[in-house]
Amino acid sequence: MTTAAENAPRGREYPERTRWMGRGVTAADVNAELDKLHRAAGGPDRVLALARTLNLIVVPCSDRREQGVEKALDRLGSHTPSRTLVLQEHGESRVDANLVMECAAPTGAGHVGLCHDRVLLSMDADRLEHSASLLAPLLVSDLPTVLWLPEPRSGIPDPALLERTQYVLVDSGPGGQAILGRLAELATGIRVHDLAWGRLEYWRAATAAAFDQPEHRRLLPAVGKVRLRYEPRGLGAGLLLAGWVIARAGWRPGPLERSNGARCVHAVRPDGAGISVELSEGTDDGGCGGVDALMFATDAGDQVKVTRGGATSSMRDLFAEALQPQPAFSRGYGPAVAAAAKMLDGSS
Amino acid sequence: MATVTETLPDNPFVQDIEEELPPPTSLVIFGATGDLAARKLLPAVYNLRRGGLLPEKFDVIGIGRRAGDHKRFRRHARDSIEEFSRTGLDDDTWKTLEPKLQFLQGNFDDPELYAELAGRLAHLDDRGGPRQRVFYLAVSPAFFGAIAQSLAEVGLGSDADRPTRLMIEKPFGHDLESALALNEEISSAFDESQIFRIDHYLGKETVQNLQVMRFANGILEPVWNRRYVEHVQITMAEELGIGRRAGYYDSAGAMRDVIQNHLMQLLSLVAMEAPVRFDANTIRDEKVKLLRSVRRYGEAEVPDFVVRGQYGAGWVGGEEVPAYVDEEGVPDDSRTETYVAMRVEVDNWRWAGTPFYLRCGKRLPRRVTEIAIQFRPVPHLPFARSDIGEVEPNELVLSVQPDEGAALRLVAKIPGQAMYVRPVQMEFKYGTSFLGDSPEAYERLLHDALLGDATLFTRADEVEEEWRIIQPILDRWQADATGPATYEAGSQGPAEADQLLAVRGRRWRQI
Repeated sequence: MTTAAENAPRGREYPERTRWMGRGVTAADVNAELDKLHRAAGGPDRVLALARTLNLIVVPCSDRREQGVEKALDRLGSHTPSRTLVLQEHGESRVDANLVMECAAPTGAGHVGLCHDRVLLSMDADRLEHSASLLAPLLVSDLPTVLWLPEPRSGIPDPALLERTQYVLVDSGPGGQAILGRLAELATGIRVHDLAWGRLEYWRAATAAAFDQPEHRRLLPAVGKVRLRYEPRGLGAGLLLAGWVIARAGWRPGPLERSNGARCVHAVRPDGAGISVELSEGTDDGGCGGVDALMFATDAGDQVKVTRGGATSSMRDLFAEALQPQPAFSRGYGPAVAAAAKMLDGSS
Repeated sequence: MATVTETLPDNPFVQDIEEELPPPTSLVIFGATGDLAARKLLPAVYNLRRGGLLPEKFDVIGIGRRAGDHKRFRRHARDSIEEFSRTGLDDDTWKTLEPKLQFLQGNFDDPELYAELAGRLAHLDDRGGPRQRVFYLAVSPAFFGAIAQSLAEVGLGSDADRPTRLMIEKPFGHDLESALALNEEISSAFDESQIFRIDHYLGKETVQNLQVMRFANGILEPVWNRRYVEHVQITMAEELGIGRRAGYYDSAGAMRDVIQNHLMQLLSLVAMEAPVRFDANTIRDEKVKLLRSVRRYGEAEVPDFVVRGQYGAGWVGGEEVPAYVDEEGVPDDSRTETYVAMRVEVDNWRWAGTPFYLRCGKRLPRRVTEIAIQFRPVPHLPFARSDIGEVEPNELVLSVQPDEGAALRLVAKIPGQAMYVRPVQMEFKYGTSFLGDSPEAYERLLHDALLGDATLFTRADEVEEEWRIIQPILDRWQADATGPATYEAGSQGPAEADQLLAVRGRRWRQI
């Protein structure tokens, strides 16, 4: 077991990091070492305290993903959770721990410096399947807990983790169409905070704003065609937005079909009339949530266009927002992802 | 012929939008090239656009007296946003905002300006239907009345055929008489429900949290009264001097600049009764009720309850600073107060006998705004020894700035064999418990005004009651042969202020 303190490069938001590594450890060992790190960090001339924000569990995290997870967490700065627990699988029949405590030095006399812990726990598949029991004593008490699935396709190794969690954080992002069905299933049992949903915030707000105008709203019951152009690799985002439009407009989605190089969904209006929802790939990769344009047309030829504008928040801001429990964020996500999943179910 | 009434379907997409969207709006900023617009308003508009909180149909007409055109105004706006926006400037967002900004040059007393403005607004309406109009007066208060009247004269006031709002900044008058006159002048042009008076303090997260703390935490209500609260201290201290504001500040002073508005608002939020609903008029009714129960001092009583001071030379933050009278633009014989401490008595069932001490000042040791609720001590200490240490009464401190949060002082035993105690703090700080940045006060206030929500704005009767409380003090000071006491810059304020509290062991919290 080793302990080391280091100073990060100049300019980092959290300049002081203290580390500890151990092999074949228990939860009690980890707690004891965390306690030691915290005691050692303070001093007569500096007051430090563990941030009281939330626990973040990252699971499962493959070697391939580990760097991405590290990078995302490094960029969070003051948005960093109190304690981040990253679970990883390895071939040994034991638990290894790698602890990092980051502290921001107090900015002046009478100020308190904030600390955050990051705990990487590597274990074998059996233990991973029962990881909730390992994590329970490591969670900072009385704080909300968020479960981040960087690889939602891999599933959750221990379903008991969901019982300890207030919501699940995922990113269905580029190529996300493959997991929309799984997310729809997950969203029936727990609040899902999908970063892709956050990237679509502009489109949802702009669509709502467009139909807030009386002259457009009166066209909605007569819409017969919707055209959605998504950015390259933005099909998942396009489907999610189309799912939301269909769900909120009260239309019934049909399966996604290919036709003339585009994808099309035949939906049904409450009055029984058909609507064609066409999804085509655009060329503009402008970073507006994966979607490039949205247009509604009635059979009589009237149109409501929602054009791109605004800006998708940075990954850091999206991730930071995801860690701040805002119940309103996921409003509409369940119906949207369920409609998108239905379109994909039985698609050609 | 029968009239057919069309029933519009509901907008099904609105239900998932986190923040309510204002209706289509034309925002007119008077003083668009001034300091307030550059530092606060234009960045607030930009951040609302960036956050998707503005309607699709939203245009800004900036009015300034200096010569200019759309292009120069847009460049000015871009520079202001780059310099002052909390989020920096994002090109995509700017591209959507830039074409929405237009400039109109003119003198605020020129009728042609208003005719031209009416034409521009009508033109915007022609491009997609009628919009609400919001007029923001980021100009000297001397123009408030004239601009409001001129707007009304071209049909843009209370007779307007669509939602129309007028936003004005403090100061709302120079004394009670001028405040009444201003309210009357504006209300002849705009209905009170259309007038949004900004006290930017009310847009601050912690000030809003004050109401949540009080009215969403059952544990506080039983002790929030004269039986348990010994006294309350409300402090707004600044380490800064007057900077380049001598012209305004020397004619205003700390009483008008801070006590009449910010501190009276904080006092009313701390002491008011629980509103039955969280809506604009219900809350403001409670605040007015509280302000009406504040005891009015006769002029003869003023010296017993109010202390004023003016900073002399000294050291602040390691820098030597000049006396107030040596600041640029301040007359040598100025008697303007830069510090006020006053004892406020609230004559109602909840607070009778519990004094509220208000204090504000410039060139104090540090910048701090806080509300400290000091509770009564325990009636009897059951410990055998009497010298167990500092048994200070419990105190709840709500910090508005710079470290937003709350702290409760308790007494705890010092670990060891002997029974010694000392005060300890239970602290909640925004930065430690919440992630993310709070929106600027102006973003929140502008968005609320666009939505027509007046909860965080000051109503005419509130302003008038605030003036009624302080007018006798101003009158007494005016008549006094002596001026304010001098205090050394960087000190805790004039020694006379300590006398205000010097009963039952009360003392000011250290700044």
